[in-house]
Order: sequence, then C-alpha cells, then structure tokens
Amino acid sequence: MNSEEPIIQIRNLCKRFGKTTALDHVDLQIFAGSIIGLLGANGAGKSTLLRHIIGLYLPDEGHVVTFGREAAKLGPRELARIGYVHQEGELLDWMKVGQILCYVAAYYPNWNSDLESRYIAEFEISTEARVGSLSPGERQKLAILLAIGFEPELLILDEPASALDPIARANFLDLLLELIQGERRTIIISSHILSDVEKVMDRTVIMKKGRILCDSGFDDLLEKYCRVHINAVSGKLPAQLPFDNIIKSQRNDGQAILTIHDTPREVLERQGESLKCKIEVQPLSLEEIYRIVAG
Amino acid sequence: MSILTANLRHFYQRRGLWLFYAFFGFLIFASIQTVAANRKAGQGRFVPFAILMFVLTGLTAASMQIEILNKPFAYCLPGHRRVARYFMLLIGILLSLLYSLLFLEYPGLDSWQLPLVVLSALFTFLTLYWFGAGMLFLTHGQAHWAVNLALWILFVGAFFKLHIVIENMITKWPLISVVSGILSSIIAWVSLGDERIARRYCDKPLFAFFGLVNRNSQRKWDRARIAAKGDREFRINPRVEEFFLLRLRRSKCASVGKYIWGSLYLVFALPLSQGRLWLFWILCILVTLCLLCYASGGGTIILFLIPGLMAIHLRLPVYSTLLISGGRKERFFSTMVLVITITVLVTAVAATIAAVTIPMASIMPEIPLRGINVSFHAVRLQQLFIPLLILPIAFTLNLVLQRKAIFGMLSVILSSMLLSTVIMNSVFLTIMIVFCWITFVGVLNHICSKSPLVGRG
Repeated sequence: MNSEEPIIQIRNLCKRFGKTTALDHVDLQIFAGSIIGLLGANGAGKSTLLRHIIGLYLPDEGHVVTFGREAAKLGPRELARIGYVHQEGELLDWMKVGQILCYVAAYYPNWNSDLESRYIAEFEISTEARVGSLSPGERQKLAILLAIGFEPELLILDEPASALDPIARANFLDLLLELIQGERRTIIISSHILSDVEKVMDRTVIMKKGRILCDSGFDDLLEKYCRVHINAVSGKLPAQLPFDNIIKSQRNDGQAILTIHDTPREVLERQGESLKCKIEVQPLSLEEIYRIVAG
Repeated sequence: MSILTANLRHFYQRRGLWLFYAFFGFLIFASIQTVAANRKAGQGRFVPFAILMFVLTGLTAASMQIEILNKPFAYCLPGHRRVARYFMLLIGILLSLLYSLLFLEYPGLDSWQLPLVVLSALFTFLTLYWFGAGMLFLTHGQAHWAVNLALWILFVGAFFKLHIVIENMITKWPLISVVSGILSSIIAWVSLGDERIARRYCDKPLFAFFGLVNRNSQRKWDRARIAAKGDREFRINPRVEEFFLLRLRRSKCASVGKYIWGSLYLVFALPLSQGRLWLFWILCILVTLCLLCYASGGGTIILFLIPGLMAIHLRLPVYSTLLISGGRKERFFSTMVLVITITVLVTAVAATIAAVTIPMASIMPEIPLRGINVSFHAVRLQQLFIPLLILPIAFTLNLVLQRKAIFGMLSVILSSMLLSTVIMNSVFLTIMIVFCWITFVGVLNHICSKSPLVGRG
C-alpha cells in the first residue's frame, strides 16, 4: 500500500440515469505518479466515472474527492491541475487553432509554450486552420494539446486516440511517457485500444456494468494469468492433471493447453516435472486477460 | 418489410413530427371552421389554409426523404435510392384526396360539376404540395432557405389574393388545375428518380427541416459552413480579440472575473467583428420595423421576439464542454453576467428603436393601399419591457431544454403570445419581470449545484 494521500479517492460511488445504473458502488483510490488504464466495454461506466472525478457529474451516493476536495466543489485552483480530453468534447469551431490555443492558454499561468510549439510541429497541426474545418483526427490532436499544454498534474484521457492514425497514436503514447517521466504526474487513460494502453499503463482497472471487476498493477495482472502448454514426452498425458486454478482447458491424449490464474511459475514448473512432461509457461496478452476478467 | 413501409414508419416514430401534426390538425380545423361559418363561393374561403398546409407538407415530406438519403447506409440499401418518389407521391395523393373532399360542400355546383371540382382541387393541392417539396430540392435540402423562400412567396401571394385566384382556378378552370397537377407530378417523379439525387445528398452536411431538433446534424452543418466560409464569416477583428484576451490575461488567476471575460469573449467577439453583418441586420430590422409599424403598432412584438428565439440557441458557459479551469461557481457567475449583459444590450437596442419610431410617426407619410390609407404607428413603450420578460424565460428554457431547442422556441413564442394578451399594468409587469428573473437564477443555481454539466443525465 502507498503511504501517501491519494489524489483521487472514490468511495461507494453510485450513479443512475433513469433506470440504468451507470456506476454501482465503486471504490477506487489513485495515487500520484502512475498511468492508470481504465478498460471496459461501451456502457461499462468509464466516462461516467471520469466525469465524476472532475465534478461534471455528481454522485447519487458516495463520495468523490479529488486533490483533497469534494469533486462537486472543485474550484479553479484544483481544476488548473487537471487536463481532460473529453469523448464528446466540443471545441470552439469558429476559432482558428491559434486563437483557441491563445484563449485556453490565457487561463493557465503555467502554459508551456515550448511544449505547444513542439507538439504543433510534431503532430503537424496548422494554427491557421479553423477548428470547425479539422478532421476528427486533427480535432483530437488539438484537444490533447489543449489538455497537456499547461502540464497538468492529473491528465484524464477519455478515448484519446480513437481517431488518430497509427503514427500519430504512437507519437501520442511516446508523449505520454515523456510527460510522466521525472514528474509526479498521473494519467488516467480510458480506451478500447488495448494494444495502445498496455504499452504505457502501470495499473489496470477493468469495469463492467458500472462495477470495478479488477484493480491491479499491470505487472501483477500479467503475472496473475498464464497459459501452460504441456506435451507428453512419451505416451499419453494422465487423465487428471495436477494443476489448480484452471480457467480454461484444451487437451487431447498427448497435449494440453491450460489457462491458469494465481499460480506462481515455479509451482507450475514443479508440478510439470512431476508429470514427466515438457512444460512451457507463457504470459497472456492484455486482450486475453481482459476477455477472461470481463467476458 | 418493404422499403416504402419502413419509410412510412417515420411518421409515427419521429417525435418532432407530432408538432407538425398538431399544427396540421389546427389548419384542418380552421379550414372546416372557415367554410362552415360562411359557405360563399368565389371568396377564397376554401383554400387559404390548404395553401399553407400543402406547401408545408411538401417541405416536410421532402425533408424526411432528403434526411434518409443523407444517411450513408441508405445509399447502399437496395432500392432505397428510388423509393423517395413513391413515398412522396403516396403522401401527396392521399392528403390531396382527403382535403379535396372539402369541395363537396362548395355552393352552387351541379351534381355533374361536383366530381370535376373535387378532382380539380385534388390536382391543385398536389401542385402546391410539389411546390413545397420543390423548394427544398431547389435549395439543395437547406431547409432554412426553403422555408424562407416559401414563406416569402406565400406572403406575396397573400398580398395579391392568391387564395381567391386558386379557388377560382379550381372551380372555373378545372382543366388547368388537372394539367398543372399531372405535369408537376411527372416532373417530380422523373426528377426524384434521378440516380444522381442519392449521390448528391449522401452524407452531405444539411440544415435539415428537423435540424433544430437534431444537435448532431446541426453541428455537422455548422462545421461545413465554417470550412466553406471560414475567413469570410468567422474572422475575428484583431482589436476585438486583443480587447478580450488582454482582460482575460490581466484578471487575477483563479478569479471569477477571468471566467466572465472568457464567456463574454466567446459570445461577443464574433458579432463585434462582423461590421457587414451588423449593417445587414440593421437594414433588416429597419425594413421589418417599417412594415410592422405600418401594419400595426402591436405587430412590432415580433421584433422583440427575435432575441428570445436567438437566446434559445446560445451555448451558455454552464454547459461548456471545453474544460478550462472554471468550477461550478465560475460557471454560475459567468452565465449570470453573460445573460444580464445580453438583456441590457437588447433592452437598450429596443429602447432606441422605440425612441426612433416616436418622431418617425409624425414624419412618415400615409400610404394608400387598396383604397385604405395606412399610417405609421410608433412602437408602444410598453413593449420595451418585453425583452426583460422574454429573455429570462428564453434563457431558463435554454438551460432546461438544452438539447431540445425546438420546444424551447415554441415555448418562447407561446409565452410571448400569452404575455401580449395578459400584460395590463406596470405593477403586474414588474411582478412578472421579477418572477421570471428569480426563476432563471433559481434554475441556474440548481443546475450549477446539483445537475450534471455534460449531457442530460
């Protein structure tokens, strides 16, 4: 456990929209200095959770405390420490890119003009273009720039890379890693593109139907699940394999593929030796783990 | 299910249409009432409401088809591209047939003349229906232009007593009616069957007839307009930009003032930069004012209604999705100041207009019109208070019906009609103004303290 105070503390959070329960007794603590991947299917409650953190939504039950203050009462001082890329975020279409940058920068005394210039060059954004005439990918790049330009302590990204092309996505992920380096910054990234988030996150939160199914360090999660290939050296495999915590099993007489959780690698190898078989332990990809947890 | 049946289902699935049904119901009722009250031939009593109804129906039916053709999936659906003409013709014939039965009550006709007149009415209404639809196709599906054009044509038509001409055509020259109905139907059938129509409208940004209800299509249309007319219509004067940004930057960090300047910048920077636009609006207001002041002093209420209708569409800072560092308190105060600023400005403009019309009333000449001398009436001073009443109502509706602007607009129109009949004296007026403002502040406060600020959860 972390000894310092969490920057976000969510306790027993419930939110309903009519008959739909969007968040169902959610508890979550987020400490400074990590990248959290928030995963879940459409309608899992990811965006609703993120909107509670910055006080755009108010809880029906429970508490959300951000930077030590009730999220509903967040003022300019706390919000100036938060960058947010909104899934449905509307920019000011009639402005030029340069104008919207000037407008947003005016709110933040710590706006980093060097970062802005570098980002504009790297992501090939035209400051003379009208925001309304930008393609969805360009709009997303601009929204990201507006959210990171003042180097926020907490960066909340709700589906930030969905409209970006592969190269822009890769650049964006590099940028995130660069942002987090050497600073006590926190990034919460909600995304469907698991291959992207797994490159950067160090903690995984998986949601389904408004509940958190899994909240774990990413490395711990990868260690928790594995696939074991067992090949009989001679003859057949025994009818009963001596493994616990099997999630999925495929086998024939001479070969078995098992998906196992919560069993250390050494234990698996020891058990394999007792079988006198050739055994190979492989980690699962995030997508496979996600399917197991949320499936 | 056939494609035609699927299209017809829009008639009850689309909630926005229920408003039109209510309006059409009113028109039909008014038609029957007018005929029942006085069944005289040759006075145009059988058609005035029909003209409005069929032009509007044509517009609505065409708009629905264009919106369907606009959906990319419809382009690929087998047979969908040509179904528009079946749909349009079916609706047109059915409605014309029903409405033409009203002519069974037409006085002074022999039994052999009656079916001929009903048939003549059917084809006349069909022509009017295609006229309405044609307006929309002529303006490439941009409903606001089509409605404007159709209304102006109807307005000029009313001036030249078009309803009497049409009624006479139905009863005295049925052959012309039938030929015009058949011809317009053939032209429409051939045009609507053109394969290029589907290509033209597929995924094209449209200001559709229901665009006011559908926020996404409105946004898409706005973006297309910005892309097309960017520097011409959306250029911000550097001095205006500097004026606001300087104050924004100078305001103390995290102070409410910063957010107030920010919201004022977003609303006023563009209109203040558009000199030509101002000239255009001033000219429009002056011409309309003259027309209304000549028509009747009371008609000028329409002018004061315009800011109310515009207020419904204004994006208030309370719902801003561009996350700047303002919290709920800052959203409350910036919205409050913005609304007060707009109200003060509108009231000042209204006062100027009223003040100008007072000396004008003694200067402007009487105009002879169809044997009557029409005189210029000054704007009644009582109407100066209308913006003070209408604007808080409009802004309250804006907050509550954020995603249903059309209902907001209708409510503003109804409220103003109601208020224009109720306003009696200054005490009542003052009470109403105070009540409307308290309601607005209460609703705003509730939203800023207890409501979601994104979407309508």
